[in-house]
Amino acid sequence: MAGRPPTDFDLVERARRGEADAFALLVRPHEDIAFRTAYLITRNAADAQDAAQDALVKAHRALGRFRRDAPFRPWLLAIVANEARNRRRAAGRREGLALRAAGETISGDAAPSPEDAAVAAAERQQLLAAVERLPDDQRLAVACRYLLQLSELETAHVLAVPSGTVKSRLSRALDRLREEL
Amino acid sequence: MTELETRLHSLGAQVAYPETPDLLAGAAERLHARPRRHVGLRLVVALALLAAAFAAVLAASPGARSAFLELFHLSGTTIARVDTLPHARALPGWAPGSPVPLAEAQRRVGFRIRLPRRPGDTEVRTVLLDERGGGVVSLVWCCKPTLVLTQFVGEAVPYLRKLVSPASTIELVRVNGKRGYWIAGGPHVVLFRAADGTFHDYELRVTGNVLLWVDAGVTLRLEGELTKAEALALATSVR
Repeated sequence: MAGRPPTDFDLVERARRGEADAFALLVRPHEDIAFRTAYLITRNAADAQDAAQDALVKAHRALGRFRRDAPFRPWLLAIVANEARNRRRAAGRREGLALRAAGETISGDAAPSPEDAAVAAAERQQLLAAVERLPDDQRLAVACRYLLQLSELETAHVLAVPSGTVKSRLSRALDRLREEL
Repeated sequence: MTELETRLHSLGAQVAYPETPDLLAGAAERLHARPRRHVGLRLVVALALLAAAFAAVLAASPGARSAFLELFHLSGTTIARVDTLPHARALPGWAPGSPVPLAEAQRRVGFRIRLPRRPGDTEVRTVLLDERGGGVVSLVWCCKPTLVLTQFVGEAVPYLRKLVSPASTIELVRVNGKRGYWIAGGPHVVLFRAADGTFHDYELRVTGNVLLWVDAGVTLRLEGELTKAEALALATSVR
């Protein structure tokens, strides 16, 4: 084996054979992104947790359908997003502002003055509020592509749309944000 | 990347998301369980603690590296197939609890105790009552074979966990039209949750076969040296 790190497919195969460790190795690195993706869709932490956990269960059951040449993360995120959408539809509500910006922590010589820090924080909050006001399909495209920093392919998987649709939604969203700001 | 895209990109690192929960522990707990909505905080906390307790029990055992091969869920009970059974220390007696008269057990639990109605099976030798978690009643009757019928109100938080070896078969069955499982063919370990705040587990190595089913929210577990047909016939008479 000469120390080759296991590929996603190696781990999938081991998980399919019942190795719980393999499934944990496969999933653990993506827990944050899975939960946050679910949160951006459900806009509620408890629903996001339920959705992401149900998605892990479904992913485990569906390992047999995982393609050898495919990366694991977009596949998992597509399942997570689907569960999150179902949960949000079932909840039948639109939560208010879900996102807020955390305070910036910079220390040492690079630390901005209190005034600059306040201005930067206000600008971040303003930008985030503008993202929140976008139509849902555009908001999610922006949130996935920029806030979660997913690839275009992953964003397409999460939104369950072709890459071309992701591009057009992002383009419309950026135009709208420029107008607002 | 435009300036706006750069700003959005850097904003991503500044978003205050809720803390990511331990999704894997929750998923292991809920594999084969139906998703629940409107779950209260207490239940969420209890599930998390239980998941941790279950993981701890497995981790502390020689079967720590044992893999979950399958999980089955029936109200109040989780059945996990693992490749290596953990070490089990015998529970004193057939089931948890202390002997009490049947009438007293009925007074002290919040559900109607189901009794075998088939002629010849109605002579219950011992009634064991464990009052934790809403009450667990075990009816023991003799003599050949000795049979134990345990019953409790199944909640979303499993009271009973059963670890079975790969040698066991787990078969979905119907008892009076209700879903159940017939577990046979290999040794298995039963973990009884002691919901006294410390989440100990009793362990019991059982050699007989087990039929598990649910009747109107009450989980029933029939254990003993019975064939599947005998167990189903007896269970059908339990009302």
